[in-house]
Amino acid sequence: MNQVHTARLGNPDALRAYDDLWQRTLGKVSGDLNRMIYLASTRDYNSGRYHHAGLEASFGYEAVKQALETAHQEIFWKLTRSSLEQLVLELEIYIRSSGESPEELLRTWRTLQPYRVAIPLEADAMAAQLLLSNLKLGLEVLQKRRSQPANHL
Amino acid sequence: MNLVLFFLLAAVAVWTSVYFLRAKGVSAAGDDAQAARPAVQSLIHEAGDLPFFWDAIFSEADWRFILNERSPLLTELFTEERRALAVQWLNDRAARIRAVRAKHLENSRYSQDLNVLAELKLLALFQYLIVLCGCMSLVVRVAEPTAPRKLALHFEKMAGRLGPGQEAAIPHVPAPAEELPRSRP
Repeated sequence: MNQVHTARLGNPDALRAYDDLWQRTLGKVSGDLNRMIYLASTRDYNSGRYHHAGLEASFGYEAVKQALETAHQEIFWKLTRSSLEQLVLELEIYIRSSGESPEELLRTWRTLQPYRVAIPLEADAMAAQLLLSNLKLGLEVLQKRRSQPANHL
Repeated sequence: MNLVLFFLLAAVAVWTSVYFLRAKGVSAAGDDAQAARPAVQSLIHEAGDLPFFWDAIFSEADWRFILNERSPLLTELFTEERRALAVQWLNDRAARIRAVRAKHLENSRYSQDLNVLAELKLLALFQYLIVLCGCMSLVVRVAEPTAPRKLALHFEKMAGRLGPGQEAAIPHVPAPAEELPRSRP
């Protein structure tokens, strides 16, 4: 746990909730894109509030909210700083672990752009634009590779 | 012709004197305003104004990665996407420089010990940065996505000078905002 986390997480319960979140959940999820999607899924679409019943039972709503929010922001920034090549790898990991057909997932993601709702609420607008743009490009790279697989063997 | 020039210079001298005298007259109100004024550095270093941002937009590694895919469509899409981001970033930077300049001009009216030379240098720097934004906007529109990279680096260096420049003109400049954290490994 570094000092920045300590500064961002207001109370000891939030720190413990954050550690627990990483040890039991996020640490077991492969890839940061997967983690960001997971964290976004703990957020209510209408209110924007984070909920995690298991963690809330141990640490309380406010501490868990802080822990989820902090983890979401951190992973968002890490992905925003990633190169396009790294982001394509993240997308590949996500596709593999989703269990869906890659063709279908690529088609859905390229059409509906569901990754847009995975951005943290407080994210800087330009950083969000950068990540969304890179994800769009990454999906196009994967689509192109699937249609012309010989180039990458 | 010389007479016109003489009157012009005289008018400028009178206007400058009136400006500085008026500034002294409102110095009491200025102390309060100075205390409440937002820090120049914090205006410059708001979120989204992170050092990696221009590096990411004009990234050579990303450009090489896309070129290696050998797809004209991908190359075109990449160019479009990065151009849109660059234009957005440049507009934001130019707007922020203008806002800081306006704020600085407003604040300098309340200063009792204004360093005229430092002020002129600072105003020249503001103008230079805005012109640089314009040049980059032009390069972004006509050249490949990584072309403005060196200009962007130069811009960031010059924008970094606003800190010490402002410090010379206005004594109190708080430290820049804390850098955002990196994710846990």
